[in-house]
Amino acid sequence: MTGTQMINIGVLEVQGAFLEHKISLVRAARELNDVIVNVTEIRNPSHITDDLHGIIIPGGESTAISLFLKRNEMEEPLRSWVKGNGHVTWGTCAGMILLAKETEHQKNGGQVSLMCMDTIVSRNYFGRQINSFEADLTITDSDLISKPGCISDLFHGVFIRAPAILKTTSDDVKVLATLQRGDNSTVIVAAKQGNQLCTSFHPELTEDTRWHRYFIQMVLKSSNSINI
Amino acid sequence: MSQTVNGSTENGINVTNLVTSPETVVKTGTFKVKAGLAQMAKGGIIMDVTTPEEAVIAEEAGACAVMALERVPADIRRDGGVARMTDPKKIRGIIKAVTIPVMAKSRIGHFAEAQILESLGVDMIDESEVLTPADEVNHIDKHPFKVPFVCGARDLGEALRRIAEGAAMIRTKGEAGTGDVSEAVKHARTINKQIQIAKSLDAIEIYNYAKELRVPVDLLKKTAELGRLPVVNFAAGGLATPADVSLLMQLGVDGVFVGSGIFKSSNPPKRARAMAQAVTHYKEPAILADLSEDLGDAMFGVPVKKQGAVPSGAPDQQKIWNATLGDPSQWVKNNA
Repeated sequence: MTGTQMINIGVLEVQGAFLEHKISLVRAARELNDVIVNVTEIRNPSHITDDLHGIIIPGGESTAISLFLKRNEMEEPLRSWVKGNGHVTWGTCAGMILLAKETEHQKNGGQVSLMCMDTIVSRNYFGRQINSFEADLTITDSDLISKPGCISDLFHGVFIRAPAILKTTSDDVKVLATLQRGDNSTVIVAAKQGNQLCTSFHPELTEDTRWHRYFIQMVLKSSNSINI
Repeated sequence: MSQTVNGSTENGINVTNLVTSPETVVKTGTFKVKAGLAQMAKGGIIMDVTTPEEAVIAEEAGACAVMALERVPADIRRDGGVARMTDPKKIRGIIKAVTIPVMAKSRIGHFAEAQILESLGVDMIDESEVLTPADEVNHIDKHPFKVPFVCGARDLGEALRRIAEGAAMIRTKGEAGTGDVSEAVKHARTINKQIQIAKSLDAIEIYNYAKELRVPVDLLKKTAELGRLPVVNFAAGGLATPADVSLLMQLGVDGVFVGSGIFKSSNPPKRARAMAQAVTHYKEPAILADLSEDLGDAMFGVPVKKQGAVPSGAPDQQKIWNATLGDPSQWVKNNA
């Protein structure tokens, strides 16, 4: 028994649903009940420190976020943080695009990527806003569905001009959730590789905190959280 | 490949073992999805553009969306006449030019323009007072649309009425095309103040306040409980500098629209870039100072207070003298 642990999570507050992520993190921590989560903002390079145990890269527009990272010299510090030992990162939507090694449908002239996950991601895979949707997803990792209080092995996903993973290019990438398409094909909408997690949907827009708990548990497992 | 779905939670019933067809049930155009786009725009800047080239400049500057317009508000203001929906050809061109969301304006109450814009695949419609209103009484019923709407508001009453009609996002009306931020500030402050009032009211008082604001009481209660508007709220109308952006962000808006402020300035790419960064750095005066440096001329602008006044500045000057020192000529004479 380790007692209560304290972890520091940084949320990249450049653009997008960062406030929603902070609220979900706090709620998830309360539900887990033996962990204290300090949530801090990341708006400039000095906010990316080794004191952080986890970083969330929220959704928003991947072009706007990547341009901001480049112009504020945050790209390299963030990339080396993500690759650092024991550091856990989660990208939602635009965050999934930023973490991917390859992206299709980028803006003209390309955009910054952190080049971390062995995935090929298609930007706006499902189309424009008119095609944005909600759907129940099949979750394929038992860790996500075996938690107490879990009533379903489905997760209600909210997809806003969302990307999807077309292909994984390494066996290290573990698929966590898929979506079945009308033509009977299946696309990957959540995956994990080592300490990196990505979802193309937005758990922070729902009441369901399973993904945030999952992320916190990834942090607890891999990092040197502080025992108090 | 059958699967189970978590059925109709809306009714409070959780049916966990319904078997459905292999294809996942996909719901588009729900309010959550519509409000979700606005949530993704938070902390961002949305720029008015009139050509694909301007749209590319905006995207490159870091805009989280662009608003495709026939003319920027400053030109609409100058030209007069009836301002309508943008030419679909122009909107198509702009959609093609960028990968970020593209918004477009419809006239207030003109649901046919909105239907056309939806069919073009725009990502959000601004039912905008910047164009000439098409219906003096009614706004568009925004619920049946799959595309989200943003609407302008000067106070909490307007904001909540628009939300009741289905708006997924609110923005201050401000005074578009003037380069004067004072109206946007007034509207943002008014909404904040009225939310504070609503928060302080008891259960009975809030019914009366809802009547006074002419809004559904449930929506007002929800707003009081949240301590903010129940949808994303941006500032718009007259913002022209990084400092303007910071001012409004510090007043609590979620992001900003910039209309004429960029493409009516002397160096649009540089100003666009600086204002885009200002939305994230709004709390850092030192960074804002660097961003504000050497941007060239801001749009010339027309102070809101001077609009509609006699073209010559004389009467206004006279008023200021009267209020302080009496008649200026008198003052000069006495000291001679």
